[in-house]
Amino acid sequence: MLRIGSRTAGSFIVSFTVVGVLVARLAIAASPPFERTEDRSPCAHYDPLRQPLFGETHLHTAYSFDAAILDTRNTPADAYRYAKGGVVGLPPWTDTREQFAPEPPPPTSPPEVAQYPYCLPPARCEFTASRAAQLPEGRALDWAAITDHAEQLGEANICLFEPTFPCTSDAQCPTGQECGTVIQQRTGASSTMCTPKGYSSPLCTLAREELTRLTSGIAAVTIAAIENGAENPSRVDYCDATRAGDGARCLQQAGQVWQQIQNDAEAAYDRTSACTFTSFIAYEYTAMMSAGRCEDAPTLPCWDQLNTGQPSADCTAAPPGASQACTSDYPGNSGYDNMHRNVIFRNDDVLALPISNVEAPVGCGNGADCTRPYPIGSPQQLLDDLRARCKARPAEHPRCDVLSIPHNSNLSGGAMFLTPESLDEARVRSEMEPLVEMMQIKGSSECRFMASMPGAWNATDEECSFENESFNRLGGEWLAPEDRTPENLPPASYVRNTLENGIAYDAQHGVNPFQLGFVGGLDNHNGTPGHSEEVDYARHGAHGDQSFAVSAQILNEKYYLGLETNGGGLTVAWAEENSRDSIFAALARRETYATSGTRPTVRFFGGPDVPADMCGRGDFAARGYASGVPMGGTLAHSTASPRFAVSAAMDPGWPNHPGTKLDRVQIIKGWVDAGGATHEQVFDVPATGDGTKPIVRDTRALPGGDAAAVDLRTCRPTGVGRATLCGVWQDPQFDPAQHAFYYARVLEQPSCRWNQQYCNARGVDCSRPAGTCGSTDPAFNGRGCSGDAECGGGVCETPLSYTRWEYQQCCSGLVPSTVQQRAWTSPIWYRPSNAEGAS
Amino acid sequence: MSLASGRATISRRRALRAEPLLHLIAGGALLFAASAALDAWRDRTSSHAGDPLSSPTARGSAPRAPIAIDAAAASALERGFVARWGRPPEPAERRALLGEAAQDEMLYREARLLQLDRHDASVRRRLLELLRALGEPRAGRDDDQLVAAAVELGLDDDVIVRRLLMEKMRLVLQQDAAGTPIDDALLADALARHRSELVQPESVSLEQVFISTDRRGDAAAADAHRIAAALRSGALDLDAATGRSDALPLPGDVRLQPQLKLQARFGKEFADAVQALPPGTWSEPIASPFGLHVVRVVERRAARTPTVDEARATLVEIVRRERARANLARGLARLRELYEVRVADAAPPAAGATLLASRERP
Repeated sequence: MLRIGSRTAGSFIVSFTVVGVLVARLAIAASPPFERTEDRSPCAHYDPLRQPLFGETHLHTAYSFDAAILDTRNTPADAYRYAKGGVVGLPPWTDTREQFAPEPPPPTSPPEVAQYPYCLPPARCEFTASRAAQLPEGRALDWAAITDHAEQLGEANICLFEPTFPCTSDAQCPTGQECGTVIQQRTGASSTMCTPKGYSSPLCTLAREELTRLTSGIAAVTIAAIENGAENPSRVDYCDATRAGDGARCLQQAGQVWQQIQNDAEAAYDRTSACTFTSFIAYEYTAMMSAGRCEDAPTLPCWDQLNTGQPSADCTAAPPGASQACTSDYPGNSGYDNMHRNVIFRNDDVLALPISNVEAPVGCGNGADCTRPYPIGSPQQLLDDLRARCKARPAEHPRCDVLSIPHNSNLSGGAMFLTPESLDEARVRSEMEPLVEMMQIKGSSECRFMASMPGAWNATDEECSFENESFNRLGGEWLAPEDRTPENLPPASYVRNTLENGIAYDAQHGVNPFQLGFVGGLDNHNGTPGHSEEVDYARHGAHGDQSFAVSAQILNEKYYLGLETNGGGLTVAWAEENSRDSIFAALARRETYATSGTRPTVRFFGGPDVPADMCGRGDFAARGYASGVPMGGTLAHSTASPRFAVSAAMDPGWPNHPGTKLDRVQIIKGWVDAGGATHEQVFDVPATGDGTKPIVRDTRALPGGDAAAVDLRTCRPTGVGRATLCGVWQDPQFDPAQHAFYYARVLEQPSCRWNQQYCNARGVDCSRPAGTCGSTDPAFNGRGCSGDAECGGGVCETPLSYTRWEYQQCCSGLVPSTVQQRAWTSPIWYRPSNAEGAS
Repeated sequence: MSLASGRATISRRRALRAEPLLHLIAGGALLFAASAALDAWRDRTSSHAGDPLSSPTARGSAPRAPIAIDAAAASALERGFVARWGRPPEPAERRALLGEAAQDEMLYREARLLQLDRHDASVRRRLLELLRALGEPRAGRDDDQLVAAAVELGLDDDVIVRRLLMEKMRLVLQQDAAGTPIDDALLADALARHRSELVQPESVSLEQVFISTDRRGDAAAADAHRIAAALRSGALDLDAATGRSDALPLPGDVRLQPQLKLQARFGKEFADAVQALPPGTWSEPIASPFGLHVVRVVERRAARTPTVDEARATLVEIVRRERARANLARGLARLRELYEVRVADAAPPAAGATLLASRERP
């Protein structure tokens, strides 16, 4: 047991009190167990036993092209303000220029980065937010990484720049800008203003037109196809400065945006000893794989043909020699394999420009046209470059460190975690990608289960049907139930299968390319990190003006940003203090857990020496660290079966919004047998705290039926649940020779999913008819109805609060009304000694 | 422009049906119409001395068509209530229901009067969406023409368009007509009134012993009291008490955390109780969502109130917010004075407000 004896400003004098067998071996506060790479004050709240810091690892702002064209105006500075508990605005923007002249005066100096100004009511300006968002009291985040799409940082700034600085000659404008003619959308009047070079290109003009005309975003799709989805990506032509293909204009502009991102992060970062908030400089690497063209079919067209040996259906259907892309051999024949990654830097020693898919595309194999033949689907080029230019700490970046987090493997068509083709690839993935995003708005990637074919994805775990999406590729078509097969949704799309493949690879080759801890994120395009509560998602959504107030699409199950999306997840890092170094070290050692958006607290320790009575004392963490490894760690060879101790506490909620109590704790074990086959099993954790009281699902036995339930009208729980759960579990089937991993999953009691919150807010009650007949015929008047036909010539009126479409989708049962929110701890791996020095 | 002319057409059509929802001016005068309408609206509606927009030379008040609620509309509202709550409304609820509906209708009508839907991207998006849902072919028309076609079809009388326009009208009402500058005196006043929100929080360090109610059930309270007493008397030291307590994943030792962080981790009830504890002594058991805690505050660093300069941005925001709230309330009150509300049935209307016109049907 460790106690802080006395404190002096900025330093700690630590004294140890050893209780029983405990040795607080990591708790050396004077020199923290992480490297300090920054010039900053140590934190007053430093805790050698670590504290749970809630954060965001995946978020877009107006600096992302796709967010800006959704009319998002929040920049990283706004996003940080929101994360810290402040108010931000959301679209639709009320353009009050018609009503409130005059326009604001021009700025005194020409801006280099699009400003996206707006105001919150009651201030008046040209873009007044019609909605405002704020985290509830006490729910500010501890930290956030803002991850705008790296590929189009410059492209977006050029196209979507809002000129405000009048000029008469180019010399008055900053580098990269020119004095150009700008036509006011509103008045048609023209004036000359500083605009980025390329602003007047046809593609940019189209992009701006689409933004105002609300058409389908062809410009953005065109840019993405060339820069994110092409086999050999390049920058679009308006990026050219001196010669075709140099991309120089966009890179110059990207540099300015990247600098602004760094400035915003610095401004938000608390370097004082109060340590109230940590920002991370980060970006999203946005590779999308279409993998070849039909004409390349004889050599190597699509990675999935590589794997199955079967030609793509769209290629066999195409005329010989056709140059169409063989983007898919799945139903729907559309979309891209999502190969996205979030790249997070440790401190402010970052690269001059992010390494994007244009510079380091995902591997395209050795097809005829693949000019940079890294293994197909492999992030090796990105990771090699990040390692060489940053993590290896070359002379120009002595403090640089970085990690990469793949996300949405569920939309990768199975391509995210293809087996490495070389040990070099396996090693760089093992080193640079310690984490995977388990959960976000576009679905959970944990695992997949369908009752109609249990075990099809190796899992017989019914909780694997949690927040599964019915899409297999980004932008692909919605799969009908009969098409949701392992062929169309390959097991390698899911994290649990991938963890199993990782230890199988390790058993064979001595390195685990997929030793992945867990984070959760939003992938929200509103600029609102941590905005993960279901009730908030019901109110504000996540995709700009695809907002609930405007568009019925959000209730459309076949729309990829629609009904199947969810409120998104959060990441919790167990760190000594709220600083970049401490949190980054936690991410790097995987001492993290993901939540599906709520805020339970979970600790998880494993090892053969973990005491059986961990729950019956108040020093769980001290004993856990002293006797075992925490989540994310690796257990060395042992003949004794390891024990695993889990302690969980419910989300405490916020004033007038109690959190949901816990339902149960499970441990998921995956292992590989002597023959190389992978297995998995889910165990409910029994109570071993004192060996007498069951803690698992005891509420089920209460009189009155299903105790784990929720009142759908009020969204209040009607079950009992537990405020805290603690259990110790020992693997009954432990085989010292087998590679294995173990992670804990903590389930809450059911609560309302966002769609139920939305429908309640609209007054939809599915237990009653959609409307009532208004008819002059008293036999029909007032009768419940679902359409005019039932009203004897009268009209079926729905209440003013909802539309018939809303009623229909609310009551369709297409997605569940309730959800069991959850947390997943990073696994603890067991690595037998025969793995050492293999390969 | 085509949106406007399209709407003028529909407005003529509606006028023929004696439903003058819109009064639109087409052509070049259009650009000035909205601001003129706003001024006129302020003149007509302002009844507050000192409001600079309340000109003594008021341009006269165009009469508003009464908001008429016929029996069918009233019963539709009631049916909506029944559908939602499973019972008919109480008289007070019925009045509130009618009042709210009438207010919504007022906001909607005023928004249309001020042409707040002109060039409104969200309204346009919705209209295009509705048109697509009808399967209306594009037929070479641009978006402006399609929007006009949607208006022609009456698609602008739509639940979601109404929601948007009512929201926009609320924004208009929130505007500070006088534009009184916000000076330091106002900010200092706001600081005084909002001191408790703005104070830089005290931070606290504490030690604790956790007793799980889940694990111990009815015995938890007695156990917690026993441990608290033993800690106070010195019969148990902290380490011994820890050995008799229960596991909690949250940090036991809390070091220099502000109130809000305590609240985030342990709930408000716990954080408030800790705030009241004298330093140095063990508390009676304190409840949190997790169970019972016996707490000793080790250190407390005092809170301090920021200066106006330090809190300027927040204070400006507070003053604006307060003004907005007051403006909205005043604006809504003026609207209620402007509209006569006719209720077709015998039920007494809500004071100053009333019922909803039944939605137009073609």
